[in-house]
Amino acid sequence: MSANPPAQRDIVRRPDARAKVTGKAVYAADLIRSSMLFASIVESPHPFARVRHVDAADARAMDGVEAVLTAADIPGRNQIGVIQKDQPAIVSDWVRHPGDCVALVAADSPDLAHRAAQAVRVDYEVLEPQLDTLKNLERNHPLIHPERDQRDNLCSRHKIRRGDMEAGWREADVVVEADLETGAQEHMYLEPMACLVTPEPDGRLRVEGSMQCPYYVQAAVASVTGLPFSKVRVIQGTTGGGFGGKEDTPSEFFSRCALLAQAVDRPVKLFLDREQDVRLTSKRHPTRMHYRVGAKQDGTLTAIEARIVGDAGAYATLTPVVMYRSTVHACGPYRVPNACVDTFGVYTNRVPSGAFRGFGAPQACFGIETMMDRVATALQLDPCEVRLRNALRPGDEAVTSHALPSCDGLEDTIRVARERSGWSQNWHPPGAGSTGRYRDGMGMATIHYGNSLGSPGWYLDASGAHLQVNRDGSVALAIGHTELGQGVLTVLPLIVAQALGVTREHVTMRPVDTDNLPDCGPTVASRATIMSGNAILDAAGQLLDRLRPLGAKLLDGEEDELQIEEGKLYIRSDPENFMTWEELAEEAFLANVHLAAVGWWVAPPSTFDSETGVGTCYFQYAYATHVARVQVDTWTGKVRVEKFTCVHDVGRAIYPAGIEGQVEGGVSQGVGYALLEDLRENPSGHILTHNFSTYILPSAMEAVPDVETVCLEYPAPHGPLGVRSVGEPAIIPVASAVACAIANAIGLPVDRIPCTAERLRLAWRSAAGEGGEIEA
Amino acid sequence: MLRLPPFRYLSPRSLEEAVSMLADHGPEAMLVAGGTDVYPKMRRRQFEPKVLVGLARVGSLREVRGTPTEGVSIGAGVTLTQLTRQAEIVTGYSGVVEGAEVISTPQLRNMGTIGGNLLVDTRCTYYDQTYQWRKSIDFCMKKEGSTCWVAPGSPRCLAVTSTDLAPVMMSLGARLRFVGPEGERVLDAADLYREDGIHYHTRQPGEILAEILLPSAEGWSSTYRKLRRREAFDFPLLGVAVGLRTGAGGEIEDVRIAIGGVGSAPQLIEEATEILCGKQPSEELIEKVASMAFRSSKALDNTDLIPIYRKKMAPVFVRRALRGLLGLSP
Amino acid sequence: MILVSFEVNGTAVRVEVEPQDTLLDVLRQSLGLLGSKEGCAEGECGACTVLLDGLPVTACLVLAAKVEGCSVTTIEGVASMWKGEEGALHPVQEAFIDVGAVQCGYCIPGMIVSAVSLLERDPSPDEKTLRQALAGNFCRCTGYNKIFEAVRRAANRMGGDL
Repeated sequence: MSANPPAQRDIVRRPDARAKVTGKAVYAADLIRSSMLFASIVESPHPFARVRHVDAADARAMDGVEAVLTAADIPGRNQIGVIQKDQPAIVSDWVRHPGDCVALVAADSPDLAHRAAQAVRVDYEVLEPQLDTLKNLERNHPLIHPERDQRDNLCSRHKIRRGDMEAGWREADVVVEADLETGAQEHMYLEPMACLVTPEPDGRLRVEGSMQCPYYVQAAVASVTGLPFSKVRVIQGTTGGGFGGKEDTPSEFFSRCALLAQAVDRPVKLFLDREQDVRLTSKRHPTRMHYRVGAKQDGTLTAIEARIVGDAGAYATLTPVVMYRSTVHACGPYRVPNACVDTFGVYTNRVPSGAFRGFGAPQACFGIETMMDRVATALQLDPCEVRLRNALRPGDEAVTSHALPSCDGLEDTIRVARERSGWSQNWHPPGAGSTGRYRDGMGMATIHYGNSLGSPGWYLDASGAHLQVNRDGSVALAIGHTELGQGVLTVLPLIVAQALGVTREHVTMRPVDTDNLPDCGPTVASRATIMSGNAILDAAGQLLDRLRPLGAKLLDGEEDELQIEEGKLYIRSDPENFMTWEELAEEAFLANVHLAAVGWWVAPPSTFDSETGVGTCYFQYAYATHVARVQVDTWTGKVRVEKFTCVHDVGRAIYPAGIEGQVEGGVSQGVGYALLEDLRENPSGHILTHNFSTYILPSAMEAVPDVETVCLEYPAPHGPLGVRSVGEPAIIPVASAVACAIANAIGLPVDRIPCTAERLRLAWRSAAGEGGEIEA
Repeated sequence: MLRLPPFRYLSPRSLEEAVSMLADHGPEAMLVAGGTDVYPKMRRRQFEPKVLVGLARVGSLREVRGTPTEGVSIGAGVTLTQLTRQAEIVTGYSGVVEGAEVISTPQLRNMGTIGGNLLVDTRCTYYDQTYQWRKSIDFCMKKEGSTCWVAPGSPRCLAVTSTDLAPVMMSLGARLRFVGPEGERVLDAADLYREDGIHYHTRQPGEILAEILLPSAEGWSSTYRKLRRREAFDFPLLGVAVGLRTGAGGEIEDVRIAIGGVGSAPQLIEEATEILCGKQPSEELIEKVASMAFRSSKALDNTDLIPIYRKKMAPVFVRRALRGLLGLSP
Repeated sequence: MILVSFEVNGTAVRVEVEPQDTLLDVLRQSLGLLGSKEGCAEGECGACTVLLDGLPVTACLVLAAKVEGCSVTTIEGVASMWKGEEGALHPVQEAFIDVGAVQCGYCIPGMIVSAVSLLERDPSPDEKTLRQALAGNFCRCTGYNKIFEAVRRAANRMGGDL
């Protein structure tokens, strides 16, 4: 274990930074082709309706309109659902959310395309929107997908059954119970969704754009166009943020754009404006939860009952796997002898909920972590002690009845967070801190996070890497994972450098292109460094197997005495007499050595029993504890987050500044989720908060002034060089830590996020009693 | 985002020329100064002028004259940034500076003007949406529709006043000079506004706001407090402006309290003036006035933050503003 | 069509524009200066921030026809505002790279223009001034901490302390 204070490390400059600070980086909207057309979507104004008739005659007749496509014009399969095949590219019968796509237009200017879309006349039979997840779960409720075999609106269902609940409640000295709620969250990446599809002279489609998952896009485009995968080439452009929002949704929009390009045989560009992007793209699943937790006098957990209902929206998209993650993480990283977890994904007439950094875990974390604090409060214990008492230790069974591999770091994250945050000196019992207008509070949240896709995604949990050593010694790396800002372009060359013994300046990354490698799976689930990194180690190993014998021969030594590092090779006994990597590459070239290798890494399989929830669930985990310090203004209900202490077991910190960047960004997004980001809608489910002035995300004024990142390094069993995930662990505990800190400040539990100023103040006042006075 | 719809842009060099251009084009024409509210609204087809009369090149609109002792006149085209840096204003009218510096963002304050802010369109959750969105709910009363979605039985539009500087000007007793085809007229800032989300001001169609006339600041202090979620970007969800003159013995000689961001028009709490004038400030009086602010805040569910919360914040903000000016602990 | 003459990054340009063209449209489409980004087109995100006669504005809300005779600086011209070596970046750009203040990069051109403008006006801003100057530029990746650090570092370097 070691911490990495910033002062002691070298500056690692991101290879993509220079282009980004000079304005030269090329994003999808910057791509221009001659004879390019512009796409527009004919959106349903209704959340739920039956399409009787689409009349595109007027739109088609407009000068400059090159194509208007309806479902009938799709040459391939009208299906883009990534897990369940319930989502058409263009609807033919039912529209299921506001903005559902009824037809597509390509025209020679964006404005004309938009006008033509407006001119498409659609006759709807308007139906009552079904927006309440709990009601939609009831039998005999109107069906959002009547075409399915199922006679209910259930989209996904997971459960865990462990131990004996009756015994658990009997053993408990205290039982706490709560109804909890979490809101939707919008990604608000700065770059709206955009792509360009170009039909190539050889009959292929070239799809470029802003995306996380080129292979998902390839599959969706192939499905709707009827082309084989080999004729769909997907290339990622510089991508202006994703956070899960560009995981599956690009498949929808890029496949529609591809349909138009194919139909007109010209390049077609599609870009969403900000309001469209908010209206039409996925959100974090809003949930309603019920938790009941039993514990002994000393804080030892005896039983947890959890029920989590997630709003899937109109189509399944990723709901089954999001809710899987909620299920597995519903009881936190604790020893729970008896547990009963039920999660439900439910269809509603909203835009689909999908991937958002954390992927169902932040919601579950809010559930379990605020309950841990309720347990502590009920027993008059320090919540940090309650966490330490229950934290999983090596060999302990998690709630899914399997031991988590290498969880030694978990307890340490709690201990180090306690120490670094000044918890022992500054924590006070709930509501027992400062009195008067401003109340100070501290809150803690501890998490585990299953790295990569886990049991339901194992079938696509493999990745490749292609390494090519050029004769001048420069190294080209191709992988299947995308740079979204998270730092893949920086981290992976560092792994290459370490694996081959070169410097990172030797390494150049090729753009992500489906032509380079077979399907490497999605860039999600904080898996890119682990998956691509392992594949790089495999490829580097193959190259070294070919290069080391030559190196040893050239240096006149034994191969097992040969050392290659920092671009030099030498025999260990004689480091002064070295040869450069460049010389080795040239010699290898002249000796016809095969200087390219494809590495491949398959994630170890994991299991999950659908009836009992017994399973290993994920092949490895990351651990983190965050402590938030807040100040609540009881007059206004405004919360100021003053400090975050974030302790992560990252396994191995390859690029510490990158980890800090992930953590600081995660804290900001998590604070927004906890306090500000309230996605509001009207009674029929139309989103009201579409832009930066109405959807309230943190500005520079709301930045948390002090975010301390501490890296613990307990090597992971399967991560390359011991790496564990950090991208999502950075956000998962944040909102829970803030909620616990607020509860600690005012002595009232927080049962709903976002805990906006008005909700907090009204709750505070109704608990404190208005008492006839207007103000405190 | 949609491009701006086509229009003719006219660039008069003088107020007289601007007035005659407005007259020539009648209802098809619209004035634009900084454009920070006009252009987004044109993109969303909330405004559909055929002719824009741009005031950027009318030099007289950017002048600031006078002194805090004798009173200052501010050209309507002075930018919000300039307001926060102009010596005459900084020294005498802190309410104006406090009001201007909390509007939107640095970029928009560099473009937006005092006149534009005073006349900025009222806002509503159901109105500040794209054309397509508004169409999907069959539009609202303020533009193209007939229903007010905030209160479907309402006979009038309930859109909310969103100018930060209007309550400030009302609290200072500022007067506004308009120039129109019929000549000039000067009115109290308070008389510019109407409690109607559509017809929210009394400016006549051909008129141009030329100047804001601040009375002498001698003996006065002023402040502005704004409720919003973030410390940047946000329109006021409540704005409280107070102008106060105290006598040598500490008694309140004159006071004006104005509230914005709730209701369709900013309003003066006139009873507060009656209660406080001629009295020594006391906790009891401040509380009494604060409770009036609660009663006179008619917040509706048409912007961010729920109405009851905004209503409850009114006395908090009035109390804080008064205490601040009186040098009492907050 | 209207013929407009103005200066972009120190070079005089003459372009034909429609009344409804914004400065952002003209920079990106007519002048090929693609560094200024469109994130909202309604003046709210700050990604298209440029300097207009030295002041930061959102180019999506400026009519091209109105910049006649004005001087415009975009992200592409920021480096030449600093009298560094030929081809060198502006210290603010350098600092953004050095401290890792760049992630997805989409907000960065506007952010840097705002930061450069701040340091021109106030070479050693305090924390509040720094935050306020960047309050019109959203970033969703970094939480702003490293961006503040970069601007402080640039301020030091420009003051000769570093």
